[in-house]
Amino acid sequence: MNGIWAGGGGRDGPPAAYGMAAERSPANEDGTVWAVLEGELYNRERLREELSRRGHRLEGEEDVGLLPHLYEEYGTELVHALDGAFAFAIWDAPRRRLCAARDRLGEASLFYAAGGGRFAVAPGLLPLASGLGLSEPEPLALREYLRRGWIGAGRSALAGALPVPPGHLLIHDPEDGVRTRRYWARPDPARAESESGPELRVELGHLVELAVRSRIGAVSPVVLLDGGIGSALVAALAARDSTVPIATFGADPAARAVAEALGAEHHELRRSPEELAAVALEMLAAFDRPFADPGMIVAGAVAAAARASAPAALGGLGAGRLLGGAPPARVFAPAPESLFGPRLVEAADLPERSGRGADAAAEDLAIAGEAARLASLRLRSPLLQFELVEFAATVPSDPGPGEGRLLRELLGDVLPSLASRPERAASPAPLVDEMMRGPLAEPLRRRIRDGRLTGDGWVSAPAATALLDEHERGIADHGSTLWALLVLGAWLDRCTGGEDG
Amino acid sequence: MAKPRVLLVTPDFPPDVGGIQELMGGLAQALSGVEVRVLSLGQAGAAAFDRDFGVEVRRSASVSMDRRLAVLRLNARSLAEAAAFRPDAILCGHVVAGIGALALRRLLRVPLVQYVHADEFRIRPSLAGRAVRGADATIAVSRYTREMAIEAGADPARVRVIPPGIDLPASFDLRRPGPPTVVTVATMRFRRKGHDVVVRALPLVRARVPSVRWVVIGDGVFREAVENAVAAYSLQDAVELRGRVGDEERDRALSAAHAFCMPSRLPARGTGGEGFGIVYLEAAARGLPSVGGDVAGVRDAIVDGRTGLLVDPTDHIAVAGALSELLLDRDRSARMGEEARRFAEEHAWPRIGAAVEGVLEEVRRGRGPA
Repeated sequence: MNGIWAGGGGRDGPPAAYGMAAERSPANEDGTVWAVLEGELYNRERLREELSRRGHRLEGEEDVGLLPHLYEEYGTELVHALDGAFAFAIWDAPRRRLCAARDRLGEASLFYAAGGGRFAVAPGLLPLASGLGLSEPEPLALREYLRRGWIGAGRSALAGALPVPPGHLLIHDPEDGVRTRRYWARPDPARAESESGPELRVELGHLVELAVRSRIGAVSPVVLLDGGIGSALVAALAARDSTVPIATFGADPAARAVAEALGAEHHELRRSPEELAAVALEMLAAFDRPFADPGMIVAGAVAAAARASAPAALGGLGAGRLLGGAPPARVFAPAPESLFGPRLVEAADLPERSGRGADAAAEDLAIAGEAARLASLRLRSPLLQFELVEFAATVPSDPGPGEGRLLRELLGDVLPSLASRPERAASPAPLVDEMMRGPLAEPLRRRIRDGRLTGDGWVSAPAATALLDEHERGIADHGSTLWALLVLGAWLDRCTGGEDG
Repeated sequence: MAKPRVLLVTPDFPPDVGGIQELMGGLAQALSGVEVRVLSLGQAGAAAFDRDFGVEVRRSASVSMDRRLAVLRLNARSLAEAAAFRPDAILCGHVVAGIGALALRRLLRVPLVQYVHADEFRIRPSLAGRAVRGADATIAVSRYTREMAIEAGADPARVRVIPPGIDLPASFDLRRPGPPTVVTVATMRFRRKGHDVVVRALPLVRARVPSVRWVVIGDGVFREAVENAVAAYSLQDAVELRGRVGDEERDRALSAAHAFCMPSRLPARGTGGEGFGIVYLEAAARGLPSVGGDVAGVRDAIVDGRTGLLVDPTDHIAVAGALSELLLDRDRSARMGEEARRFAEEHAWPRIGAAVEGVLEEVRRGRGPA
């Protein structure tokens, strides 16, 4: 994390780009527009060519160097020229305007705080918290976290901090203050039948191919296999495009089968629960915000293994919720009300949320993104390429038994032997149950005894202890709920700089 | 001396709309040196249309039937029609009617001229190959289509490129006082017309031309998808989806706009696409420069840098760049508009009709076109 990118004092006063200036951010020709970027632009060559054609003098090879020039060309509409996983901020000094944006589907994170005389924007929640001295959790968000397993759109775990939603711009200038504006959304799915199946497959296949090619990078490709159709398809296309054997990483036996069929150099993650618990403890010390999903432990271990051989890897994210494959298994069990401490009981009840599907897709991305971030791995997701996602929205979905049919048929075109395999993937539930009876029980017990989790009244200590006891004695399985408590406890303590581990 | 008789067999014919329909309708009227009889498919509104058309039109089966079945019937009917009409030559508008036309050629011992467009070489490759190999001459609507015909086995010496013709409006006005407007006239029956790419391009155009408007004429199964995309990009206030409109309204829209845009592309991994793109000429005839895809027959319909701009039709940044150029430099686009009008004049029906008559005359004399 780069700390706070930009911020300002005074009553919605003009921001200053101090974080950016401190880093000597790349600027335009006359040094009046600066930028900072987290993430990658996959159409960088095209952008470079267009800017050169328009007479811009480009220095350096980094993606971020393109942004000030694109801003000069397109103003805040520059987001529409980008194909990438990005969060960025641009400081326009003459206008004293800050323009920040998050990629269309939210592969990258971006948070801001505004109001009460303060303003700041940062690519993570904790940098924002430490920069502004925010440490007060948002009760509604924590309730939601314990009940649903994630914090949905429009909220963050910290009071006063908000996520910039996917596909949104954040603009701050002296005239109009701070506002966010949506620049893109996934188009509503069409209902009308369009072309025939084979024609659709050719079109979709072409788009997937282009997306893989734009994200494959120069070195020998690395693909994370999760046992699903999406990552298998991405791997198959990467293997077809690559002159050297691709490397694959995965923990699932289904991943091994895919790798074998592709002749990939496969690295199967085999870790004992003790080793995975060590990974989990490291993650606890680094989470930017609470994530309840225990699938992240294995995802993080796989990402770390891949990172040891390459800085970036391809994945199949998006196939599940955007293209009709099977969505990732989530094993969260809602925490019982009895677990809520006084601060959560006080909090007004959550309004019912609709649009769970969109939230779920965003959560998938956040989880995968965080697992990769913790391993310093750049995760590239061809199936989230925006033209591909727009195309998919024009194809009437075929729910029920036909789900994923198109992707599966596409996979069949590339690699017939894989198309008939069942999709995915062991549930992470048994593993987390085991770890919460073993090496992770004591860290949680410690948090319940000493941490902010119970000390600040978020969770009832007796109820949490009872739940843990019941689980340890094998009376019932509460592994995923207990993991969620452990993550939350560790995160709360980090917010105030408390002990880790 | 009596005029030579030409039987024009074409499944696609007005009042049905579309590029090939328009081409065949215009051609039937432009062939003034021969006596034409048209044989086409029945359709709603055909009786009234045919009554005022000025050229004899016979119809069989219907466009609303399954197309293969309809064409089979058309082919069968063409035998009877030919026996009565006793043509001196057959002009076949589409390869799907080519099998019947070839049978006629053998039966009546009259020469056959086959029209080719583009998509048929992708959708019905073997049929298209038989049609162009068996015809005495093939008329390709563009250089691109000519290449496809030769690829399919046509004798290069027997393939002539004759672009579609148009009816020139008597007058046009290069002064366009309204807000900067891009117009698209295209069916929404196919993705490849490029509405999706224009939607993506529009915000980038708007960055340079804040008041830009996009007027969209045409309808089809992808209309809903276009509407959803416009909403996804929050462009509702800049876009007017007018659906299918009459010729007059279409012409008014062309006459009021500042740039015509149809970034038509090739189907993925395939050939086909725009055989020519008459609608670029329709725009040109009204002094309107075009932005089109630098692929397929469009390269004959737009002269890059003179009557419009050719760009990679899948690249919304390039489409946006071209549109912005036309909208921002009004002097340059007015000059292009004038050039476009001159270009359209070269495609006026009397000229094109004469060229087609030339081919008919050559095959009647027993030799292919030079």
